[in-house]
Amino acid sequence: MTIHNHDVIVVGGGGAGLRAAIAAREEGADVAIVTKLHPVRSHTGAAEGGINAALREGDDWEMHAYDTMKGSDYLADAPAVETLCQDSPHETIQLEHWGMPFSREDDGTVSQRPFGGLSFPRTTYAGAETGHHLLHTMYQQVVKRGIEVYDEWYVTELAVTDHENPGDRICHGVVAYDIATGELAGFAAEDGVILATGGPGQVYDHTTNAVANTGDGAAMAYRAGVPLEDMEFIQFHPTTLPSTGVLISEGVRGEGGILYNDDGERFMYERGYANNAGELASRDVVSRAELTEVNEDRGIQDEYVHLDMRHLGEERIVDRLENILHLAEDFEGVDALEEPMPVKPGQHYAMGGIETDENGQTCIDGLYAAGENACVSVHGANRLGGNALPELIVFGARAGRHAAGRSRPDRSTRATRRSPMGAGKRSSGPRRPSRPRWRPNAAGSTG
Amino acid sequence: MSTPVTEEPESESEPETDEQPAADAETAAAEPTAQQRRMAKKRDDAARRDAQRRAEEETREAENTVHLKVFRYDPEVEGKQEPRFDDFRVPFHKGMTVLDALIYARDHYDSSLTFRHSCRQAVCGSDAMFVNGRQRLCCKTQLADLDEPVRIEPLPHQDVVKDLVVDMEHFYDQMEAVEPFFDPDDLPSDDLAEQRQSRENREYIKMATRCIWCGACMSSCNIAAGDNEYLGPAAINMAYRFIMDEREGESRGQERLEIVEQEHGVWRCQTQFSCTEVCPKDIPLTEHIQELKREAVKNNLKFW
Repeated sequence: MTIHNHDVIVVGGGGAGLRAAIAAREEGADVAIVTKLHPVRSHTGAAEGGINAALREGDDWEMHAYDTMKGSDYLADAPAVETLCQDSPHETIQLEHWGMPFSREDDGTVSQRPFGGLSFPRTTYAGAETGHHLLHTMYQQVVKRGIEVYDEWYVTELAVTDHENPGDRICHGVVAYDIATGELAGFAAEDGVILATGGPGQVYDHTTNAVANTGDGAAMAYRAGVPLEDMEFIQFHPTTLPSTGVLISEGVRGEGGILYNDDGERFMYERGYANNAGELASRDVVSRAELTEVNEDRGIQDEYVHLDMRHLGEERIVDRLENILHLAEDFEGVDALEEPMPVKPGQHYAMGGIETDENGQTCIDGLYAAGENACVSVHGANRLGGNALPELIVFGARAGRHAAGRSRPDRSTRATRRSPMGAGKRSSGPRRPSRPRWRPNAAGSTG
Repeated sequence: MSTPVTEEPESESEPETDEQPAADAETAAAEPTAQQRRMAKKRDDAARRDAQRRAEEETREAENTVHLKVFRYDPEVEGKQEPRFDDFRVPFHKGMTVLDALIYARDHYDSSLTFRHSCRQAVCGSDAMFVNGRQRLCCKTQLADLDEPVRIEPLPHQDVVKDLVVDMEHFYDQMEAVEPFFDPDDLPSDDLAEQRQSRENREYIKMATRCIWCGACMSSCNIAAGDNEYLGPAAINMAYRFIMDEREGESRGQERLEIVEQEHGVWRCQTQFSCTEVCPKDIPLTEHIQELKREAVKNNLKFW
């Protein structure tokens, strides 16, 4: 079996993975990205909303932290939230310096807009395609730095020692196969492995997540003995198209779109789910209301409800919600100017994941995680809109820097202490040192 | 009906099933793993037959089915090395896309059917294919808009790896040939200060930045088909995005123009607009190429 030797191996090429790879490279590490997609195919590209960052006069990171804690139902970890909110402005402007085409104000500065649960309009955005631009901007930086990318390589297992206690284990690399040929290869990581494989949305029948979002990273970490944290906290979005799970933005309800059940009732009011906020109640409230309607036989085709925006008039719809018309037509075959759109709740985001500290470090030495597959615990029970993208860049960068090991004074001793695979820089045949042993199949002994 | 589910490789891998009768209890007790394997295979076979029957029933019951003709090719499997078309009849529902139909065919009829797909919402750019004679993103193409049978082929002018999967390496190489990364002369000294960009300039490059690297344009381009070194519409559009970005300096712009002005650059474009027509993101690619031609001419005149 071929062994590819690098200092840092990043698994996954989305927002967190790319940011981690760039950060590790800037620390001088030889870093490689191993991803089952090409990086620009990653699901970060589907994020629409924006990046929460306290950039402006009148705003500060503590207000951002307060909003985040409150939104999390006070279940997030305060130090992690502080780190997120303190680092986000720098990381956001870093993207601007890398050329990301943010929307702009008249004075040429980047635009910010209000978002649910925020006390200040701090969601920095690039049209309705912030994630697409973030992903592509960072991939450009990866190309610029000549970072090696093994695309369409599927990582199956972490190479972790078999110490009894997971806290004593060391991660030396990963095992992956080339999807096109089936060829297996080892990827030895001198300094560390960073898991950035995204969310587990495909566990659900109906999800806004991509087909590729199968929770691989969290599963591998769990098999290697790392605890998963907050796995019960899953966010559902109330307005997704029934056939594909494509998300219909909250903007439709924000502009005055109305939800109806099969009896033509405006159920958010008429059935008393939210007498004040109505359709604009929070995501979980509206999602539960829709599900209740369907369960009580008031759903349409026993599956969905209607989101109607026809009364807003063609002019207003075309002006403000044009992309919604395209989505409804392309993905559901519905002309939303002529008929209501079918919508139902869909799984959207996993707040939980691989337990890490603020540097992405897991309990296993040399194993890091960042992004949706990790749980530094900045979202608690509920993630605020606009807080997913800053998590990718803030904790991606921190994991990359720390995995590269340069921030630790004793790097040289660390490097020699471990890495039985990388030490010899051989190109074939995994050697099995007597202790600690490399354990290619960690299943069944998760400690 | 569709092609049968490929059973040959599975039965080949478990030849002992025929040699040992399932009723032989002694053997089964002595070799529980073999027995378990047989039972597992039996259950699998039954489940597969069941799924196939249900799928067929569903097909017959559905008022509406859609007929797909799908390109098949697998260089690694004997009997599949000659390209051919397989027929699939898939139950139709309102809103169904070409990608939905392919997924149905793979999940219910032939698990070896191979195609790239991920986001299902036209942002990842994985599933550009040649559908009824035109490059389209399968996930945003409604079956109701197509004539039957719906003919699905891999992107033309690229090497086919398997079935509907093409080799994208050449496309990626061309994209990277234009040095696709932002490169300003200098940055604000304060690391929290952004570079200024006017709304007009941001609007000007907006469409160019929407590219999702699906490769539909390159595949539709006659010139790219005949000249393998031609940068192609997507890569030139990428260069355009940086050349027109006012945040980059003038000398960098010169260098970028030199890249797109070379022999296999902008001048190869014969303004057939095929790339613009197939672009799923409605990027005015041909216009962008024309504009760079004008910039190149202006640039050259300046040095006379």
